[in-house]
Amino acid sequence: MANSSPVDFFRYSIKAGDSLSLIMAKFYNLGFHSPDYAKRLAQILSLNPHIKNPNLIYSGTSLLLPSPNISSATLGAVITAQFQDQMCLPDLSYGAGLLPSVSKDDEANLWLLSWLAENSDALTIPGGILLGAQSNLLSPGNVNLIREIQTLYFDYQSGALTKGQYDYRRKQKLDLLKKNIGSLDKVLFGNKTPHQAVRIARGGGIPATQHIMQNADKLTKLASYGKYGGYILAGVGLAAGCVRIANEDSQQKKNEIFVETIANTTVGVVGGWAVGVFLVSNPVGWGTALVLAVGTAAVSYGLGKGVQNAYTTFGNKVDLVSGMGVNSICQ
Amino acid sequence: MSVELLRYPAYLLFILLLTSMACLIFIFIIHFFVPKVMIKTYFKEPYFSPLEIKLFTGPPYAYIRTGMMMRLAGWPDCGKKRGIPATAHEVCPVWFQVLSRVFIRFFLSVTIPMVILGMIFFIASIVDN
Repeated sequence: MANSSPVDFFRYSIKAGDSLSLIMAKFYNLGFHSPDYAKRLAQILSLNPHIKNPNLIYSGTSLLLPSPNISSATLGAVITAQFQDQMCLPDLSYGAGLLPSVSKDDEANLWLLSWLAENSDALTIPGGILLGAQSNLLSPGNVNLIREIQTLYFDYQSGALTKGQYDYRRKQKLDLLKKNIGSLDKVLFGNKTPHQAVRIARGGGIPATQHIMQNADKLTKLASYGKYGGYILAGVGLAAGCVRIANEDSQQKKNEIFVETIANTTVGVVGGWAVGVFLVSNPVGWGTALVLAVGTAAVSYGLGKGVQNAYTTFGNKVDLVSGMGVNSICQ
Repeated sequence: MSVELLRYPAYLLFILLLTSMACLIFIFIIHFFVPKVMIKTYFKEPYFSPLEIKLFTGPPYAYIRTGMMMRLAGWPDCGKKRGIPATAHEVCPVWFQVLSRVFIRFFLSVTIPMVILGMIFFIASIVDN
């Protein structure tokens, strides 16, 4: 049966935040204004008779979707032959992967990007705070602590420091570094403590300070990524919200996305300020800082959904997207 | 329970959300009026860690420092754990102290009910599904 079918199909499990428009944009690169949009939508609906309302799909349920590389015309013929006549089912064994030519790693990245695009508005602020915090974990001050160990080693080699003095000062620098970066040390140093990672190379064949310089360079590079990460994430959040609005065909749904995005972004920024008001009287360690960031994310996500629900139930007569000109920006 | 009972709480939630957005605008304006002397005197080591100073200086998180300074101006005792003297508020003008006290109280009276109402509607959306 698998080889007799001219068309491949696969099963897709609907995830939270998915809509048919989003799924069609994701797999078939079809926006609402694409000429094939209506045809493909009708085909998907005929393949999935359990969908009663195309604007209402539930996460966790599965969709039968045609392979992205098949044209609407061919698919239409197959549906007519195989489904309307109820003769046989298409090959479902193909559903393990999205595309046969895409590696599992790339597929995982695609899912990650899709998830980020769906959830980035709730992640923008706390994500930005975390990335900003990361860039400061990797601040020049901390990187310099590592470089100073190299200077200490040269002093020891030249006889300016004794072995005991070198060991003691090295430990002091590393203790301070560990204190500054807190429990993230093993993440930054590949499952090692700073004391294990930032050490003299004794194997021969490489400069004695190679490990030290490698770690300093690595942290400097990470810091530059982190510095811009918050801005990038904020941009991704706005762009993703805009793309979701542009890809949505229902005006009601556009408004819901807009309200949700505005609400959780506002709450994220407001939450950050409230955390600042709290922090002045309660200096916290990195563990609590992470809890606060995650808590802010959870509250902004929940509140975004809550406001969206309130809008859907009681405020849907107000067309914010048209009224505020969002339609003309997010096309 | 009739869904209609939630209509006015929903309107209240929208009003609180709009008010919190107005609060944000106010925060971004007041950010430029935080007395420089206060930042120079107290937003430094040993009161704040080097990481905090770097993180909350300049965009995009400097507005959080504004919240810290307003709390300190309005409630000088709050910096005790950081070793900030209880006389910290004396370096800033009275208008900033009063404004800080009024604004933070107003801010909390808006955001706390907003979060509670938002969570109620969030839970309602889960129950609905």
